[in-house]
Amino acid sequence: MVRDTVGVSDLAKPVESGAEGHSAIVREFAAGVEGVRPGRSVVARANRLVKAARQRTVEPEIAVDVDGALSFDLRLSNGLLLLAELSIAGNLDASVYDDAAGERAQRLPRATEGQFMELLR
Amino acid sequence: MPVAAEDIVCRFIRPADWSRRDQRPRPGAFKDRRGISLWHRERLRQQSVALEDLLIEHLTGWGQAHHQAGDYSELAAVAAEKEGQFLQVQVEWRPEDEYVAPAWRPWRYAHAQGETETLDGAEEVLIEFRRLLAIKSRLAIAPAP
Repeated sequence: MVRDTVGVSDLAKPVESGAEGHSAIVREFAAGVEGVRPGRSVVARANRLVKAARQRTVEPEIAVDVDGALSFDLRLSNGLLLLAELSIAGNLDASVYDDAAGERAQRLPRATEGQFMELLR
Repeated sequence: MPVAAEDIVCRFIRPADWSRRDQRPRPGAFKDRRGISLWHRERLRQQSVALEDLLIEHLTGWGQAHHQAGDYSELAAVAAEKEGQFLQVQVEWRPEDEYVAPAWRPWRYAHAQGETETLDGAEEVLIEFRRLLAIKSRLAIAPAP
């Protein structure tokens, strides 16, 4: 069982630099959480995923979660919803949902970058 | 001690956790590195305190998602069945210092926490649980723009 407190100070993470040339959201992801930061290759991957999401979907919603993961909430061109998370460790987890049916259409617990890009087509 | 299933609890929502496209919290709003920190609406009201009074310091303008405490266990059971993985979530009173940040201690009597019990590696069931919670937010107030 996980049980502890959430401090008010825990709830706001400063945006730090350290991923020069990247967008603000990627810099925030690169800043990490509680002293744990993603490696350079993970940040570079995040940058590519963010760019692709912004180029290929309408109103992409991308945020850094309280656990430091970069989460994607994307409406695909076929109407399906893609929810994906890139963890600080670099694991990409993706699920595609059919809202109308209320069901998950696809699940990729260890998605590759290629699979993510394919979903955006 | 569990919070009564029919009682309303509030989860404060960071601006980053609000979907402007869908006008509801994102599933990530219910992520927590520790437990899901919640506030009991009626206990605050009884002391003439509004939920907004707790939005202090940099939390000013955060949004709110309301559920009945029983939703947490109910949706955990739905997610567990869908995913075939173990998940139990109980909303428990947690007024102790170890659960409440110093800035919120004046209101500790109204603090509760969603206690999650799962097995190692059961990430799918947690993802589904958070998604269901996001959809079932009864009164979701958007964070200030």
